[in-house]
Amino acid sequence: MSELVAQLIWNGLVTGALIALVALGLTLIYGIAGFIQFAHGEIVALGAYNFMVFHKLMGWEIIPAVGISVLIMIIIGLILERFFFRPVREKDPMIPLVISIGLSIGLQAIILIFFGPNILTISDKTHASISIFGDKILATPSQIIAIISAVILMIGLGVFLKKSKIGKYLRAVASNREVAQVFGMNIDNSMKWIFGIGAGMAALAGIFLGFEQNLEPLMGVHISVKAFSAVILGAVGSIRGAIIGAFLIGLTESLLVGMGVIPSGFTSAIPFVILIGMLLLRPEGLFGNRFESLRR
Amino acid sequence: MLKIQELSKKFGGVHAVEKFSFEIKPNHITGLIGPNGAGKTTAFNLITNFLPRDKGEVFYKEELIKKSSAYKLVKKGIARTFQQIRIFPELTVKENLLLAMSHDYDNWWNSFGNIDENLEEERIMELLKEVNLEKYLEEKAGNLSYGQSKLLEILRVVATNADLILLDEPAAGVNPTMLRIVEKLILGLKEKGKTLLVIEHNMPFLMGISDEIIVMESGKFLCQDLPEKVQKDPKVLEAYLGG
Amino acid sequence: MIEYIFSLIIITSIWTLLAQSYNLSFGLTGLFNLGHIIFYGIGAYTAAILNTRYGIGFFPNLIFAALVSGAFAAFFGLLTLRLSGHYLAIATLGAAMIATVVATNWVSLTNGPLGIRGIEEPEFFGKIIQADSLEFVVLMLIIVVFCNFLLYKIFNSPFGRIQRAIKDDEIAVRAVGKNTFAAKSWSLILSAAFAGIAGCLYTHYRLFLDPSIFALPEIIILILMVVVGGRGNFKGAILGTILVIIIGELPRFIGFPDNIIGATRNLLFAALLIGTMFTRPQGLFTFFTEKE
Repeated sequence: MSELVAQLIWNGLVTGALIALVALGLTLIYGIAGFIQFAHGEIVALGAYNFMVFHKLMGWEIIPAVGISVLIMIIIGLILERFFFRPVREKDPMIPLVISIGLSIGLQAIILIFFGPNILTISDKTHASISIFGDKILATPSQIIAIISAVILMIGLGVFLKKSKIGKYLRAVASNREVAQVFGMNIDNSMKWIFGIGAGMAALAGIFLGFEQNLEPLMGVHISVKAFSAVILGAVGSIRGAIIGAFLIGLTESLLVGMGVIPSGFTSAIPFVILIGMLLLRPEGLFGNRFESLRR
Repeated sequence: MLKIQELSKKFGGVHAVEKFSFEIKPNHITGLIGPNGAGKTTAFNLITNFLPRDKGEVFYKEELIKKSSAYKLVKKGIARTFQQIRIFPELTVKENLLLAMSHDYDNWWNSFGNIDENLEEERIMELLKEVNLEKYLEEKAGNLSYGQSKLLEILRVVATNADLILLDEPAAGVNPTMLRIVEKLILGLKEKGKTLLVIEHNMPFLMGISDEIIVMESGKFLCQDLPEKVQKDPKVLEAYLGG
Repeated sequence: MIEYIFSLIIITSIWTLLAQSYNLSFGLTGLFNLGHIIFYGIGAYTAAILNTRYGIGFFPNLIFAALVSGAFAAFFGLLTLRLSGHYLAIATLGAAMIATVVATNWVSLTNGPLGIRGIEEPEFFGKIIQADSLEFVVLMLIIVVFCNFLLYKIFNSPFGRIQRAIKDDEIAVRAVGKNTFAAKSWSLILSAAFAGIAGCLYTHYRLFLDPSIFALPEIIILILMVVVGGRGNFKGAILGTILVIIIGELPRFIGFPDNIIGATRNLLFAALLIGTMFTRPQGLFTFFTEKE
């Protein structure tokens, strides 16, 4: 395997891991709350900006800065759930959708007002690339940590959903919300958990993204398209699907652009084209059930 | 009129409907009963193409019905109501019925022609008068009471001019006065030549109007006979008490 | 001064048409059409490209813009309208999200970030109608009023009735024998076609077009215009448009610094949208315009 391809695959895996962290939150929210949370991308962005404030502006060490940023975003995620989505939960599904768009645009505006439109950086000279896999691939420490963290989180999420009591609740609610309510399951609780988990993973993804690609007000929007595409590629509501979809998109993007098949300016269009392709060929996603996607 | 052969549907590992076969005669009122979860509504969904069949055939007036879209069946002459009332709350009562009636001028290019809706209004008033709802003509359907909404849904299915009408629990949650109106309506439909298949749990009501009863249990056909006979059939009693 | 008033009237009337077009798919039928701005931009670019490259004039451009936008809508509709509404949301929003990228990078078609210049003013029997002139205002108003009239007819027709029913309960509409897929598709296509016309009006007014027409936050302006007026409410959309435009001018009026006017405006819109969703999702103008 040529060095270029190996490098591209590595980059693709890193991107894929980050998309997965975001897509998992989205697919959980759709599967359990039944709507697409369009402001999820802004949680990613805010996670990154938060980290920048604590690490660069206030001088905190990296790990505490990551910790506090993720914590703040989890709290914000819970606030969003409690005050913006829970009150309108049982009504017309258009309402939470529109609210999430309002939140997305509002949060983008807040980022613009406080941080300005210019690109900001959070990485510095201590993060030079190192070689791994026998000198074939150049990877930054943040990339390595990103992939390891993402994998750990994904495995952790899987175990959590399968084994823990809350996890079983969540899966029951996901498969049939009305029935779950009849059995007295506490939907409020389930929502808190998924918004909290989703926000935490998104914040982390944002921080790693910040190291990869720097910060700008629209960064949330850009990762959103990729995450939506990954969710639909895998099948809405499917955890496995979101992960596989995310890696597929990350790899495709990296390989197509890196090998010059697609000009770099069109990078962001690739996940969208994949999305359209999926809708044409297999709308239920790789892991989806043909009938389910039609019914809802 | 309607012949069902070996209708089957599985959900995951559960056989919701299994090799269900029966035949109903034209201009008859046939009841469909069975304990909860027997698969009655699923059978309705399969017959009317709201759910795709796994196996089995449906014959309507000797013609094989394809597994195509549900909406096409209405033109063929088969229409149904739903277990949970599905009227259009934001539309007026008149519009609810108009929607079921107007088949030809639904396209947007007819938006610019002159459509005479007064022709339909006569027929709508006739229908509403049968159930004493004339004064609600311009009322938003969402403002109707539960019983009135149920009546509206039945009227709407009648408005489609279907020959075969499938009613899913028309008596559920309806007070005794309304129930008599529903009964009168259904019997009146038979007099006008319609064929009905009715799912119901209200036994006295159903036995009173049906010519024949089909019993379902666990997705399968149990028996089909005259109401008096079905009521005394030990298999039926066991299905209700045992299952 | 008089030209300022003219330009205000022209811009407002273009937005009115755009909002009403959105009202058809999003408001009346209840489709999750979240990227409507893309149909506007596509219409605008169609007119700009046809005019600068092939010399196609304003009046034929109106038709072409409508057709191209409508075709895109047909495509999205075909892909997603048999599925749950969320798929349309993602497809249209995703398209809007990358429209800027595509317009910026497909330089051979759109001239990239530099934009397209030198678009011609409308010509009526040999006479050129200049922007911000009285004739231009009259032309705009005639076209916008006519389009709104067509939309009004559509809203109040049996076709419009089916759309309202679909918004209420699509399954029930199928149960009374209607092809809801076709109905929804036409709603989206017509909605996009009128948006395309609005885009063409914009192009031949500004005489310059760049990818900023696809700016994402503009989506919220459209949603707000329709929601504030009451989804599906014809008069409401017009009132909503005027209200939102007025509110949009407030930050500049109050004197916020230039560099954050855009963001402040968007924040204001976001707050207004969320607030409306919580307090009066049926719209603010319902008590004026509905005859209940």
